[in-house]
Amino acid sequence: MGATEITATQLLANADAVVSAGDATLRGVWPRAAAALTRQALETHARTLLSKAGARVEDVRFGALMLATQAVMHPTDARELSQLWSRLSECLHDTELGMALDIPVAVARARALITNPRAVEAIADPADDE
Amino acid sequence: MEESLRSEIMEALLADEDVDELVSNLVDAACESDEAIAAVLNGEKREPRKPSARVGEPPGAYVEEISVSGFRGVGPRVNLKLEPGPGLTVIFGRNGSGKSSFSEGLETLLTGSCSRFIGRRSKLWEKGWRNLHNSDKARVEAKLTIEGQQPLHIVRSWKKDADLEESQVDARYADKTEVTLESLGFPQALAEFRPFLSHPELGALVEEPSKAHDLLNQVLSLDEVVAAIARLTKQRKELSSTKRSLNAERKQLRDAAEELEDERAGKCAKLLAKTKPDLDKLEGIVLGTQDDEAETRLKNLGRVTKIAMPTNEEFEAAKTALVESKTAYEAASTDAAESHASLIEVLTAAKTHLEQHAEECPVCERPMDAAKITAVDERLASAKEASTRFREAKRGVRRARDAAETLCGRLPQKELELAFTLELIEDPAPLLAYAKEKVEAHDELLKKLEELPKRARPIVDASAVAAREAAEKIESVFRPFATTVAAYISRAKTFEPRLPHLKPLDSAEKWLDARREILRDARFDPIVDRAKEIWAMLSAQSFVSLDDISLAGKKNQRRVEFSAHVDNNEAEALSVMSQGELNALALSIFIPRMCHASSPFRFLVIDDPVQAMDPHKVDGLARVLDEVARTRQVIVLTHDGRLVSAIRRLQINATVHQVTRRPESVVDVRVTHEAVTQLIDDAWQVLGSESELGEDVCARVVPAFCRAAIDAACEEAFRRRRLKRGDEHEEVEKVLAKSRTTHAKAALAMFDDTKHTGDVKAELTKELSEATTTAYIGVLRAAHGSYEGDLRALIGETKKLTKFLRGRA
Repeated sequence: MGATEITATQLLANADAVVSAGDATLRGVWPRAAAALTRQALETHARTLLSKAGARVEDVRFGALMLATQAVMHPTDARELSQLWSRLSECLHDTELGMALDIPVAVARARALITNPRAVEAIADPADDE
Repeated sequence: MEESLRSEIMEALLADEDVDELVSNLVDAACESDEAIAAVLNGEKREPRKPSARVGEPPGAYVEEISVSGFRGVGPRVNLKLEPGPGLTVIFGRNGSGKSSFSEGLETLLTGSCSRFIGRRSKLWEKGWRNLHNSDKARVEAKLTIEGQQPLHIVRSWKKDADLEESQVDARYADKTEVTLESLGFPQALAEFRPFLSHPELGALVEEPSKAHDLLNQVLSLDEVVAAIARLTKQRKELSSTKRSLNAERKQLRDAAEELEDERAGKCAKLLAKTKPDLDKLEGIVLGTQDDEAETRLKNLGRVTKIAMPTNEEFEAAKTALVESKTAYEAASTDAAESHASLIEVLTAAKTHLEQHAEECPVCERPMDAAKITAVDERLASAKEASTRFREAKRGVRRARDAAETLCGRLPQKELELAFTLELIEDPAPLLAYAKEKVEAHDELLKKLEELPKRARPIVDASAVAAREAAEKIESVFRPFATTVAAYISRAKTFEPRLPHLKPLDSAEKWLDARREILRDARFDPIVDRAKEIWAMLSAQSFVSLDDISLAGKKNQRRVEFSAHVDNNEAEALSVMSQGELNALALSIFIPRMCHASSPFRFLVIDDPVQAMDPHKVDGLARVLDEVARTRQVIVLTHDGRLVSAIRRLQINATVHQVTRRPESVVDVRVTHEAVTQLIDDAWQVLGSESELGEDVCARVVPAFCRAAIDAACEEAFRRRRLKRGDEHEEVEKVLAKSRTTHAKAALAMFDDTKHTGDVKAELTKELSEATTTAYIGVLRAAHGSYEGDLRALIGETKKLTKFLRGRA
């Protein structure tokens, strides 16, 4: 059941579908469901980037995986990716405390990080960090 | 004024022997209106009022449902269904989720505005009260359940482009009978007991002490007493002010009068020096009706001003008449007028003789003929004529002289003498003597007619000028002053009959103000007691103990004072409390206000009470809300999950509604349960939407939910066990925070120690089944990917597992 080889972009499309699902379908559930899918999109993206870079990521915990993205992403993007992943995890786990995240905004941020990242060459440019 | 309150005042009035009838009537009238006070002051007698029976608690209203559309954060219509009765309801949602739209909507529905946006935020409110995504259909409505009555449905709606104030309100009972909020007494009750409390209002306690004072004062229902006092104050101040201004005016006029060189002003100064001047006397002086020297002098000057003497033309005419009469007289005298008389006598005798003896002349004895007789007649006639002319000329001279002398005598003797008396001219006696002097000689008289006007006219003219100048001088000094004094007199006379009202008004005002304080203390004490109880619950582990709360000061200085002890040292509470403690303190005093027995609202809506509270205060708040909810419908809105967590942890009976907001301001509301049940329910719900969401989505989301449910069950079991044995909440949370993996959490739940992480699976198999352990492992593996097995079975096993874990508490 279910496809395992799915891209981060497809996962985000699924998250979008959940956000805009009919009122009766996922009343109140949609934020957490979208958070789960968006978090997976970030994980998939990180795993893909690191794999392409030759890293062995199969047994790495996801928290560590997120930190490792600094090696393959612009530091600012990597930092945001890691923070966003943490916030999505909170949202998924905590019934109340995780509610502070605006899920539609989080999905949009995830999409920006995945589809329109800062150039990695710019890492050496100190002005870009300012 | 509310009847029971008025009766309470009347009772006290009747019992107070020191209050006289007028003061008593004024207090009673002040409870009504300004007009009633005026009537009492005008002598109206009032029937003594009998105290009426006290009014009991009004029927209470609970909220059954709130619906909002096109308002604030809510676009399409959304309903919030509530249990209409005592109990705790938490509306929980992240910032911007639209949850506050329900409280703001209910407040706006009932009051027409929202206190959160009063003052500095009013502009934001004006711009932002309509929802951007559904701005055409702004509408808020609520169903209220009222004790002993039919349910009430209230709708407030706005037409497209209407301003906030341009709403329509429709209120009707279930049987469609229309009713107004006013007829239900809601506006007044809302002002007194406002069942709404928002975070900015809590902040007002510190930021705006006068506002906090007013909010508490309202609940004491003494506004109308304050209004009655204000009526008396207004009347008393008006009189005092008039008295003061008249007194100041009197002193100014007195000083001005003393500066004036005027006898009348001097008299005025003496009269005005008295606190209560004789207004009639003063009026007599300034209006000139008073018979005094100054006025007499002014009148005399007026007479001299009008002084007049014969004109030069009159003198010239007199001279001409005198000269002509003399000329005529002299002409008549040349005809030997003196001899005519004797000639007439001789001729008359001769004629008589001839008539008697008509024969001859008695002198020459010649015969007398007719011709001679005729000649005698002619001579006699001529002589008589000459004689007559002479006499006439003589009389003409006498008349001309008499006229000349009369003219000379027409000098204004009295006025000249008056002018001399008034010291306007030198003594006119020589002139007057000259004018009266008899002159016999014709030439002398002519000379006098020539001389007299030359001497008299300058003196007469000078008298008039001097008199005019003197009068003008007097008038220019005194008249403006007199005009001012006259205006003062008019005002003072109008005020005079009202002056005796001042003292009774003052007494009535003082009596009612003293009574207000007695009433206030009597009504405030229970609120203070309750606030102290609430503070004790909220302030766990606080160093601040609250001793007393009082309403202090007046006008701009009015405030709420809190006396407290910090570590046994006396202190002013506001100055030593943290922000969280201040919030808690504000809640302590506002909750009793909202729960007042006289309030018809059996619901309280508290928005965002948790801010800045530490975990202990949040626990305390949950307990307070729980206690209040036993007799009231408590609706709390919060974005802070700690309150919900505390409610769950403390096992407080509450309904938690979760509010979420999707794009286009689509707001969802649903009742949520504790985390484990909720997550498993959510997993079922996702699976139930498989046809819409797709298999892959479900295969990824369901295991994620299942794992979160297992984590929550582990945390709950560990937390309960540790808290039950007396561990500090913070310490428990620290241990949980360190245990990041589900294995570690499961070890804590099952063995109370993460060292047993490796024993989890075996224990599960032993205590539950191989299938459950397999599901557990499947969940862990699929939580970050997708589950390829039977999702229904997965959820079922997860449910068993969580039940087992929770049972290890």
